[in-house]
Amino acid sequence: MNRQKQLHNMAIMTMLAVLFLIWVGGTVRATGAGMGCPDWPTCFGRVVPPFSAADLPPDYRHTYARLGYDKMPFDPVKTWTEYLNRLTGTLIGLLSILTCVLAILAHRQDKALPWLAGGALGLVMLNGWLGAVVIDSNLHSAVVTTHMMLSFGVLFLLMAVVTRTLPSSSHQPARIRRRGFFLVPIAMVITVVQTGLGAQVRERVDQMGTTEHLTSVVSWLDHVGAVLNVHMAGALIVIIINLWLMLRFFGADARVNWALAVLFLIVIMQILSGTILITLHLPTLVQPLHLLGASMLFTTQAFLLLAPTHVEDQVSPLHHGRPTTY
Amino acid sequence: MNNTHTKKSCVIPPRWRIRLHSWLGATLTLPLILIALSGAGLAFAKEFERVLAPDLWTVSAVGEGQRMNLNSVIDHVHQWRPHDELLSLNMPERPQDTVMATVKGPEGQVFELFIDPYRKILVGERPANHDTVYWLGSIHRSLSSGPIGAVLVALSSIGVILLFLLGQWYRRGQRYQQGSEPVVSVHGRLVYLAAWVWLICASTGLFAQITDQSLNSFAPPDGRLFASMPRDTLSCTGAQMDMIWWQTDGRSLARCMAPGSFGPFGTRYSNGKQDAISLAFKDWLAAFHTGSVMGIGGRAIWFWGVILLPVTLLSGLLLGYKRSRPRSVSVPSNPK
Repeated sequence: MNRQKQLHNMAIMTMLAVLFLIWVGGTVRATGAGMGCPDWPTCFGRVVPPFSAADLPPDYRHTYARLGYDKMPFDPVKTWTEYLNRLTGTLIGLLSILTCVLAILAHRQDKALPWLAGGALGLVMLNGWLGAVVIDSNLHSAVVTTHMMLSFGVLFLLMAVVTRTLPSSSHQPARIRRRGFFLVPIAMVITVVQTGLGAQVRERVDQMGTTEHLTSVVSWLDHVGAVLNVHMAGALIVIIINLWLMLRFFGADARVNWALAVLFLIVIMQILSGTILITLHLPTLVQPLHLLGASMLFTTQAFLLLAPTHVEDQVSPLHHGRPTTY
Repeated sequence: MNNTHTKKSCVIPPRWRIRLHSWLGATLTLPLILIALSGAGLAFAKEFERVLAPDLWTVSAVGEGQRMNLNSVIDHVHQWRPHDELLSLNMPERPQDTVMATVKGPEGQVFELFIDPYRKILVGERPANHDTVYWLGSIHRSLSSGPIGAVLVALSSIGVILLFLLGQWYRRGQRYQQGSEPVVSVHGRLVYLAAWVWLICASTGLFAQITDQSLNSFAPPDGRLFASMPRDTLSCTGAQMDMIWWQTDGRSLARCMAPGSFGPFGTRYSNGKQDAISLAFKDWLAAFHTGSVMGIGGRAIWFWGVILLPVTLLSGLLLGYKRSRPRSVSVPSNPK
């Protein structure tokens, strides 16, 4: 297997791991397990977290009082959920390092690869540090949301590595760029804004749970405020713009058709999960799936934006493995 | 064929287009990098503050009862600092936030006090010019050099717009010259991705400079909105109090945010006499300048878009350097 193929596979693996981490992170937030470990990188001062209250340090209530442990009971399930999040983060760190090393080895074929993979590694490290800040700020919702949204940057850079290492036989025809290509970045911006709005809905629900002491989960819908209405209206824009992309690009190329099919499935999945969240009052299992769907939507749109093109019947050997537009 | 040839020879891009673009870019690199990085920092200043001083900003809200109300906070501040004048209160936006009171001492020094709203204790205090927002703001607005810096900031904003227009003009010339789409460099790709964010930030920032409006969300709006009312009449009906300012003559103004609102939507002012005063023009300008008009997602896009500006400038300089180098001509091998 040549170096570019290895890098291509490694970047895909890292990207899948990042998507898995987004799902795990969403689960941590939905289950309220964020403060399961009140310190970072250790958990209650230990490398392996405690299984029961008996394993906790004797003065832990005093040490972590500012973070709520003066009154909060110890919950090993929450602690281990948060720990799984950290383990996945560590795995992504290792995968990013490997991707970066392979990109450096493949720099003769494409000088941009080490920069892209290095950028992804930098963002992964920054996000690791932001994980510590999330704990230190006692799960400040804006910091939690920023922590999540930084993963979109990692996905974007990894997708750039994946598309640049595609063999030239897989390049899209250049005519795709004449099919309203400017809509792809607009669709991506809308996806990011919509994800941010979704995170704000989630923030608001957290806030209500802490301060407003609602008597029943059913009443949350009436108390969230305008952000929920805007998020639901935004969903309509997301559907329209992605349907427009499908109509414009369908038939351009077999690989593009595959991407559009995936895009279609994700949009359907988002509509379904969004409807379930509203009608069944935020079931815990569906929340991370909805977030995962948004991340997958962004990743697929990034593929459409970054996929290299070639002018039909003029695939030059000079451009092997590199997009002709660069 | 003949037509194409004529077109090519007539519309060759003048060299000064790209030279002007390059020299303007090189001149503005340093101020633009400073403005872009400090501005990106300011967009997330509240979050950076929590990163740099978590002990001052964060408290535990788990299992706590009612938070202090406005009158209780004011009473406690007067109790802790009896000789100081209360300038503003930054009320908690989220359950785990502290209340920040800004007070002015008898000698004129301004301090920030951080109050735990559940336990009614003073968590900490510091001089106001020690906080991130203050020094990032002073770099961003005036590059710490007074009126000359302010002019430089205004010129840099115009410069970004000019750089974009010159770059586009050059590209158009290139397209005519080659008769097809020009090769897109990394520099061009970055411009394609983020130029719209720079243009929005530069034009709104420039407008604020010209009209002398502060886009700082902690600064009070127009003094005409303030009213003299007893403090217990200051309230936000059906909304959460975000900030309260006091003037030296005792007049006050509160900013209220509807629950679950985002950006400037659902935000209003209240001065005791009038409960719902709509936002000032500068608030909308600030919302577009920072991206908060689209919520936290918008702020994140603005942040990354602005961070890309220094990268684009440096990649442009590198591109200019590469193009100005004499190219080595390869000698073809002798065909047999």
